[in-house]
Amino acid sequence: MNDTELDEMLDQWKAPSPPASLRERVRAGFSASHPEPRVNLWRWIGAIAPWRTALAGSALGLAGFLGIVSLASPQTVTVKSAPYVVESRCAQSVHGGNPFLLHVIDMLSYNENGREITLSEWVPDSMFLTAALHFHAGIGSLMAHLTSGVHSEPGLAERRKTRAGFSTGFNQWYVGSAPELLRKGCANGPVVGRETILGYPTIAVEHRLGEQVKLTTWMAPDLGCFALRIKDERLQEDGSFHVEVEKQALHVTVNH
Amino acid sequence: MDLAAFLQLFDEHHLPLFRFAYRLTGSVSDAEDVVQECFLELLRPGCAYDPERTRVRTYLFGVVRNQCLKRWRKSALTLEDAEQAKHERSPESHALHSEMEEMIARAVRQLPETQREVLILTHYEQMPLAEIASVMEIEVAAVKSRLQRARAQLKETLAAYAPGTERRR
Repeated sequence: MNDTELDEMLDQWKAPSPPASLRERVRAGFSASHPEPRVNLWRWIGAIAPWRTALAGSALGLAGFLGIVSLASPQTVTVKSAPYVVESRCAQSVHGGNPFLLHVIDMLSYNENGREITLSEWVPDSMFLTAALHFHAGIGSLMAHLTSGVHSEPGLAERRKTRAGFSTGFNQWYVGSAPELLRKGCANGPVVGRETILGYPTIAVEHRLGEQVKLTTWMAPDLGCFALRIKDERLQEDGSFHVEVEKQALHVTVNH
Repeated sequence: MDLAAFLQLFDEHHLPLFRFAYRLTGSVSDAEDVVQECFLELLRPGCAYDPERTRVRTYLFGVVRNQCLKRWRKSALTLEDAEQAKHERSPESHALHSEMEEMIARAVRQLPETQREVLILTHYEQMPLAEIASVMEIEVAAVKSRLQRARAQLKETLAAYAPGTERRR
């Protein structure tokens, strides 16, 4: 056999095309390594130019006002217009006996087109921390609104609207596309179990967001893939995974 | 690096990286995992990539190679296991692979690890020898030597299937 014949034979071994899911997985990994945390207010204030301080002060005042208003206003109208609402508790682990000021958040939410919509959040038994949480969220919303047109990537804002999103109270996570999530009956990743939670059958899907983050979501197909349980685990130095935040549904109320 | 730049990098390089990973692992899902890890490696705080010293393509191929080796060793997967797994593919998938294609894939995978990598990068990815040397962190002379040995071995293994040769099976 000569070199040409060998080359011709080798050419017959074709590699398949990569699955379409690969790009989405990589994109999800990027999102995981660049989570969209709540806006760090003080860093933001420190970063802006002095001549904008007055504007920032006004924005803060407005956001504070919004926070107070949102705390004082009942949200029953929004809650009743949702097809169902789930009350969940999000608990953040306390490392090394050093308790965080804020480590439990309760929330009311539901899924709309594969995205979790948070209706209300509060800190149990603490009016002060609840007010701080709403204030913080108000600032985050305001900042998101102000910066929504700044992104340079074409279509980014549109794509953000179609991402499958989950909230663990402390973080917002995006794992692929929402239409794909619904199309696949919530199984948009490796299925690692099935469990009935609060009477709803769920599919447990494990999302590996890079090497550092493992996010397991127990999603209920009957509730538009709402995650009735979420476990956010982080890789430790010894190679094990440690639960960072766990969200657990407490009640499901279906609105007729 | 922002998302747009990251996805552009992915779009430019993922196809050859996926082919390379597939030919090393013999599995679409493993290759998918490896390529995903490869790109996410760029985002890690301790990422060793230095754009002033290495081309990004060279770095990415090196990461894919290392990931494949790590998987291979971690799972203690033997060549026989890989062959077995390959034969366990769905009928639809199996039908798409010609007998000749299967036989060539098997012949390449039977090569020693270091020769296999060189052959795949040279023949299937048309990578220059100097770049292969960078990916594998060896001398160019060693790349040439491994390539010659790989090709000689394949000529021997595949001789019976060469055009005009009657199959001895």
